[in-house]
Amino acid sequence: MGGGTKAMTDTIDQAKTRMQELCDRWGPRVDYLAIRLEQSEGTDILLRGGAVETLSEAIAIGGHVRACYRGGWGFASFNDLDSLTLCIESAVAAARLVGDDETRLAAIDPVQITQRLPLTGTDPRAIPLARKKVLCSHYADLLQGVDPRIATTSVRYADVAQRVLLATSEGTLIDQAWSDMEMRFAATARDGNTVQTGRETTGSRNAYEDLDHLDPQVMGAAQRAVAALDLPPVKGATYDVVIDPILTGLFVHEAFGHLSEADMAYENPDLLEAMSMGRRFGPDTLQIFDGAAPQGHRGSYGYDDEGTPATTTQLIQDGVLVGRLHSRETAGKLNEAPTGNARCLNYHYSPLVRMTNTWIERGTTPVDNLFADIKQGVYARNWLEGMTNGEMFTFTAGEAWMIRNGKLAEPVRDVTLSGNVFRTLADIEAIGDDFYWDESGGCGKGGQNGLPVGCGGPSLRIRNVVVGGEAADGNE
Amino acid sequence: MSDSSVNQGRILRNLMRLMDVTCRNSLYEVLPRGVQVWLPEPSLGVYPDLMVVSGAPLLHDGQEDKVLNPCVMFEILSKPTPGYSPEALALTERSGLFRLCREIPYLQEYVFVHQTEARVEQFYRAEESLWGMTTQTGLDRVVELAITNARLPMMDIYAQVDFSLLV
Repeated sequence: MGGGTKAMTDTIDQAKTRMQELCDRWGPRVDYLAIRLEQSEGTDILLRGGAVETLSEAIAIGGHVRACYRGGWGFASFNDLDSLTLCIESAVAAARLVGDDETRLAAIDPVQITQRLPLTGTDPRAIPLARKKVLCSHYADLLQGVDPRIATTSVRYADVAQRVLLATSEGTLIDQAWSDMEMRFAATARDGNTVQTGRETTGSRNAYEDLDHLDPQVMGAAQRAVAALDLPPVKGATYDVVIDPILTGLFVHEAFGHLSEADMAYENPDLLEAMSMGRRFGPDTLQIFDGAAPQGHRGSYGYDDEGTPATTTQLIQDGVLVGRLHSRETAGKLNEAPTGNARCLNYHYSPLVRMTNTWIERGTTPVDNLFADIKQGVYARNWLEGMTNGEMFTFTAGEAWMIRNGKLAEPVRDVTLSGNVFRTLADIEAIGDDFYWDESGGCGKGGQNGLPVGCGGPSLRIRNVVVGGEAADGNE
Repeated sequence: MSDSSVNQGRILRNLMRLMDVTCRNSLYEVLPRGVQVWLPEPSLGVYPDLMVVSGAPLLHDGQEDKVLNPCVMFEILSKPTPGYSPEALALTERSGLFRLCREIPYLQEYVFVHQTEARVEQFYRAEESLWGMTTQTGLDRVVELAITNARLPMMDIYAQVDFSLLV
């Protein structure tokens, strides 16, 4: 630990008592006051075409103050502890200015706790920057070396160790810390006018070693890009489709999960109506969950950024909608229990309702049987790109094969899977008995992009999926 | 750029005016139609109606007419295009240009501006390979660009646009 970090740790320790005193002093002027202080230490490396585009280490300290008065919120952020009192004044004044209704925050028990998410291996802070750069260069060389037709590569490495203090006027004082790591790989292959990309992403909250031995996985990205150059494009049509657990994880997070975030529904009456509790969305065998409580995943933590304990929330039970994700405010307004899903990317932002670890429960159909009886269909694995618009989604498969007469047949490229999430959930025909946690997820919402999340699920068989790939028009 | 309708020209002028005011004295620079965005793979130049660059323009091999790093691009749609509907069978691709430009690592927002009605469709990069989308319809709405903190009232985007004119 460097001198700067040591001084910062001392600072944040001293700030703890002061934060509580300030909450006690200023709390009575509003209905709710929270001070969140954050210390972060991180590394960013980006190699494009093997050359360094970004290579940085940074330590930062900052915080924000949130005040709520008669339903109105005030927010102020700071990166200098000396300005904390001014920030409180400003947040309290703003809340009092806009509040004209009623503060409805779901009740939670105040808690005083110190919690460290345990690493199972080496802390990334113990690894010198030079060694991390060597690792990135090694992977860039691997990608480039797969085939002469690899035109460009990119390797991105990021780690961050965060310590977060939260003090509230209700008496909560939480001191949490965790480390998060992520690597992203992409290779673009080119042959004449044909260009194909392969991607691979991984992440961990457990150990630097999780990023250290990825050679086959990394090379896979380049190999898929090269192989796709010579593949025929899929013939656009509606097919019965089998997707792998990674695509299932993407689907449950991006297509369904965001609609379960109560702030989205609360602000959109049509969505609130569509997401009515008790509505059937899928088959009896479909179970969907979200929760930060299961340990060891990218979206795991002890308490959210409002001090609500992490939970596991069942969203769909036996195919029926039974839950949604809440901050204290959305839970209060909808008279439901808080779920511990209020998260902010960093101190510059207010917490929003966010997913944590989201998954579809393992089913009972042996994976091989998912293909049975499909006369002509598509098997899609992994993903390259996704796009969502409310209920609608399009995901581009990382690799794909035709299914013919119940068996895997020839590989194809340009497979996009598109549809309406509600219809697609209803069209789930079988749920595989496999399961995989994809720890590569970063989630974007409201400008707060790159929030670590976990996604999981089994392979799924879905009928009537629109498969295609060509643009609606070609005005390039 | 040779086939612009009067309405297209008006929208372009309005966008240029609004974005230039927003970006003046900031880290961002607005570049009008005519400046080429270069896509190294597949070695292709494209011409957005308007783009915003963060910091200095990054040039391909130092060539002044090949910008690599737009962070926002605007495309004024030349033909009436149906809106996205949850009843549709699929979320279709809006334009071939957008499909190509999604590979630009610097690009954060791609904005489609319709010229036959007051409708703006805004695609934003939620994650490295994930895009989300919002639509604003009607002259009383405001388009917000998160990256530049721009607030573009639809009333101003469509100032003087005559919706009764055929394209």
